[in-house]
Amino acid sequence: MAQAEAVVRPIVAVPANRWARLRRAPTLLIGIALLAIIVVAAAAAPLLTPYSPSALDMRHTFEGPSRAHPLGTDNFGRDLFARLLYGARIDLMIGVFATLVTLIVGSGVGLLAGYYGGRLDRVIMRIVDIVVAFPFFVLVIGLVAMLGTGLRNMFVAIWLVGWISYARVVRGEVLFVRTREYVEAARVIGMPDRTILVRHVLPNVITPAIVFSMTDVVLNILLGSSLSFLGLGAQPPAPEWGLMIAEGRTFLATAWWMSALPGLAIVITGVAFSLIGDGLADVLRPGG
Amino acid sequence: MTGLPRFIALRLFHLIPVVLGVTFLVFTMLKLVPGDPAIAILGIRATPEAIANIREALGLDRPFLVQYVSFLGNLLRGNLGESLVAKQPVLQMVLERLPATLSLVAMSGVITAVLTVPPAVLAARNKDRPLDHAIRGTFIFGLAIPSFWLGIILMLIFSLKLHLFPVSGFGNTWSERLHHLVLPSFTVALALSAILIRNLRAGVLEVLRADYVRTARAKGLSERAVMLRHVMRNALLSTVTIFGVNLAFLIGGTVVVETVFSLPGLGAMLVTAVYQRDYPVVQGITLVFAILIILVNLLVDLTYVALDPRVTFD
Amino acid sequence: MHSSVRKYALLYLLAAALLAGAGAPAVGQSPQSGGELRLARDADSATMDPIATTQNLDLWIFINIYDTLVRQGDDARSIVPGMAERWTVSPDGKVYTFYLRPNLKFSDGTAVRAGDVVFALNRARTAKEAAWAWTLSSVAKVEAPNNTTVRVTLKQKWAPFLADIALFDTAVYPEAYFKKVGAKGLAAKPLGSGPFYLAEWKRGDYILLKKNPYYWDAKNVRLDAVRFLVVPDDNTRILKLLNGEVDAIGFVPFSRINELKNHPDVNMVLDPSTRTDYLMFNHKKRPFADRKVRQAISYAIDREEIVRSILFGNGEPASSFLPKGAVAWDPTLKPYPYEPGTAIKLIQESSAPKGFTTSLLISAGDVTWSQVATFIKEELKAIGVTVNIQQIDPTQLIDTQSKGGYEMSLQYWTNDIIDPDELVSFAIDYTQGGNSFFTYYNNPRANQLAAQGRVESDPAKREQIYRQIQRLWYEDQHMLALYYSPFRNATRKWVHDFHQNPFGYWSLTRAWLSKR
Repeated sequence: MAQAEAVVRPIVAVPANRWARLRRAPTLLIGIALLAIIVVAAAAAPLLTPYSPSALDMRHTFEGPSRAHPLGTDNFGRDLFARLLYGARIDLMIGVFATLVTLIVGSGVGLLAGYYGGRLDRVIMRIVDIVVAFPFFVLVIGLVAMLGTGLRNMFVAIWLVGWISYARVVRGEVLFVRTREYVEAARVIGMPDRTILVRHVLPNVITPAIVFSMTDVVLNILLGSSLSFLGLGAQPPAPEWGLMIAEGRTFLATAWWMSALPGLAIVITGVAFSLIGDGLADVLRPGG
Repeated sequence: MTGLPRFIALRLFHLIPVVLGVTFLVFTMLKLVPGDPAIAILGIRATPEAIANIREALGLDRPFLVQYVSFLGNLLRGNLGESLVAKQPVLQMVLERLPATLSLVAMSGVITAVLTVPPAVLAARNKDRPLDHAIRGTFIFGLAIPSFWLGIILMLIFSLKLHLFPVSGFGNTWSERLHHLVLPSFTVALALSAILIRNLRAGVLEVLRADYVRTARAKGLSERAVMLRHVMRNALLSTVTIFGVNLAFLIGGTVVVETVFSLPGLGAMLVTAVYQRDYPVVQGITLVFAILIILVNLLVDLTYVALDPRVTFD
Repeated sequence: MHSSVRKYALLYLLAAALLAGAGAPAVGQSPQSGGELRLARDADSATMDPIATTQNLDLWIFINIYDTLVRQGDDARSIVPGMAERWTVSPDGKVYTFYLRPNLKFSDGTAVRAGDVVFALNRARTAKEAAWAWTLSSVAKVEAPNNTTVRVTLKQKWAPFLADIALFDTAVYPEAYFKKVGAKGLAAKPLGSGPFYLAEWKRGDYILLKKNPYYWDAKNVRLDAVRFLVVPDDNTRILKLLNGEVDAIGFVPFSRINELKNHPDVNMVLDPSTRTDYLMFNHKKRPFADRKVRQAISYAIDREEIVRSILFGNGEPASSFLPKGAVAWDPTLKPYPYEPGTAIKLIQESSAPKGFTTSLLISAGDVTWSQVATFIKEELKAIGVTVNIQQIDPTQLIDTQSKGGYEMSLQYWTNDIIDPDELVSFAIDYTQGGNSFFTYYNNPRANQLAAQGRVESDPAKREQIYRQIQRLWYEDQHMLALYYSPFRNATRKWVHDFHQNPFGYWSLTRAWLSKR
């Protein structure tokens, strides 16, 4: 695989001014704005709604939108708007927290594997192969059994598996960069490896990882929600969006909004992160 | 042996430690999880005495390593053991369900290619114009849609309202099966192509500006030849890697789609087997998945070589 | 009357009659023979070996392939002849003699020998993998004095015996066949003398049963074939029914019942079941050993509301831990009322006056339980009890419960045997190996009453004993009975006489199809 991952880089013209590049990427700005709205809404939930996400109100079940309940109620009379807001906290945390750790760990592993090569590299790639081939579902069940239920085991499962993409991507970039003259020069003048890695290699290889992490956030939110959907992630009555979709599934024919709205929330949040990812790709990787 | 055959042989040889590693880890993990097939069989009437009897009947009271080694022994003889719950040979059970999963993966791959390549190229060539924005916008949405939710919506619209596609199941003849696979494959492909299209578009853009492309155009090569021979080859490189990784993940992750569309595939069987702690079946499916994933990786590597003649074998 | 008015009246009546006839249900239509019934359910069978499983998924299928000496009546209260046309009991109650019907055959045409019955019964009670051996623990020996008689000798007088031997694990298959194919062969290719035989089994996809021409009552079996399809997703299953791809579906979610009841193409078939849903307490964990705590929790749960908003009215609050309508069920008991005031008073008098925090285990993927657990969690806040819901996979749930590693949990029971002893011994008698349904409730009075019930042969006295047991349960509430719920099937209008008896067996011998 080592040789096959070396990608030839063409030489392209780039606008040097960072702000000029920013202006060329409205997607980034829109994405950030959208995400900001979601984050603020999640943080300010108690100010935006008087309802608790888990308070039952059996006299007002399955209601449509109204002055009292802007997005209606579910089968327990719980206010859907409140549930979506408090659920945003959970899902944002899933997306960001899971991704952040895998980004850092995966990139670190890829950096080391690509730079030092040799046996370290071979061992790491072997581990990667095994992790890739390990059935994710079995892993999750095992973690639930050993660590108990809830969000925690979902995080651990994602951490154990999600670092691979970053490791591979960064490693590929490092393989290319380490043959560059400035790295050679640094080594010749006796700069310690650690300094070379941090100051010269890392900034040049981290870009695709960061771009991918935006997509990864979306994927992790989806993964988290499908685990909750299977009953292995967030536990009822948590307003996690995937769990809400699962709970609403049985009412799909009559109260379709119970599943539709959290699905829409996932889409909107995902779009925000995707736009940021697209924008970052435009800004950081000149020429596309 | 040199060149291609040696490359393939070496990769297949590397299959062995990976497979061993994975099956051992899976076996260990399952053993650490509370519950065993005796409980699954007995249900709530699981009195300690009944459990002990059934465990003995199933050979579960042997030491842990003995059980694993006997699994390996069977494997060498081409035998995947026997399901503890259904008492049928695992190999046979797996082979019965393999076509559904394989067809789903294959068809998803094909639809993904169709959904990814033309739009990516169109978007790149019309960069920053409305078509580009429309395509990118569509796929930004596509990425964020949960597949299990999409599956239900598609079913409601296409099966119940429009009666265009069957609601679920697998069908009996190959043409029937194709028909049944369209909706589930489309659900999977949409998610996958949303991931790939950004990457491919970026790759195409990057290459379109490259020197050698300008050279080729200056030499008078037709646009189509430029695209096919120079642009696509290079643009596809990193996309193919991501495709390979995700396809691999897909193979293990067809569970949700198989459940929603009631496809009798390996993913659904894995879930049931894990719930029932049917170790031989879990091992068998894990083995098949691991082999499939490695084969997919091998294919990806070979595609790399085909695309970029500068790359050589070890 | 004016002649033209009369003409109009006649025409009108004729038209009305035609319209009524076209749209009316097939009341008064006589049963037709033939056709294949396509029935969709949520999961596949694993095995067809009658002794090796406790899963309804398995037994509800092979109960149609095999036959037993005697069978449970559809009213769930009586025993009726099966392969045996009559039987006698010795005066000391220890020897039962069964007389087989003449010319019984298996579905491959071979004759049924008494020796086959003996072989099957012995395997059911002695094989290592026999999951129901304990039901036949009263048996000393089984013999075939001649080719059409089977004699069972018990160790002592045993009131539930006939009910025990009517259970599906006593299904009969040829000894020679078993010796040839073994347990593995029987599990995949069963051979019985029941109303149907297994024609095809595509695992994960469908099971096809065809009418057995050699069945002793074949002339009363109306269907030609039954196809059990596997459709795990609830919404998909209903879509297939509405699409006409299947004729009947089982396990209709509660939330769709009322809609299907009103659907013009669908019959919603709700049959009484023996299913009771419980809230279990582990008495080994501190607050639950205190009766006042348990009673407080019982008063704090609004069962009517559960039935109304989670079952959508399709069920009722449970009054006893025995299934409604079962033998010895006490009709004078009423469900615990919803009295939050009483609950608060009781918790304050208990050993945990300030409440406590606890966990509630449920199976992952069970839609109804997820809602019940959520509801209970909210209700118990009123008495200061904080509940953390944990979904775990079903096998781990049972494993945890059987090892006493839980605090509260939801569970359910369905009867397999007509006799009340099955549930009583399991749920309330600590000495019988079930640890009182995993609650570790050990009340010597309950144990004693249960033991009496097992040996009392006078039906009236037995009834009294079981009433006492139920009243004792009502006071102690060692586990709470929450609700009863029916079997929930839906069929298209061209399916008739399709029901599930209280044990869950579909009425496949009586069901019939009219034109689709």
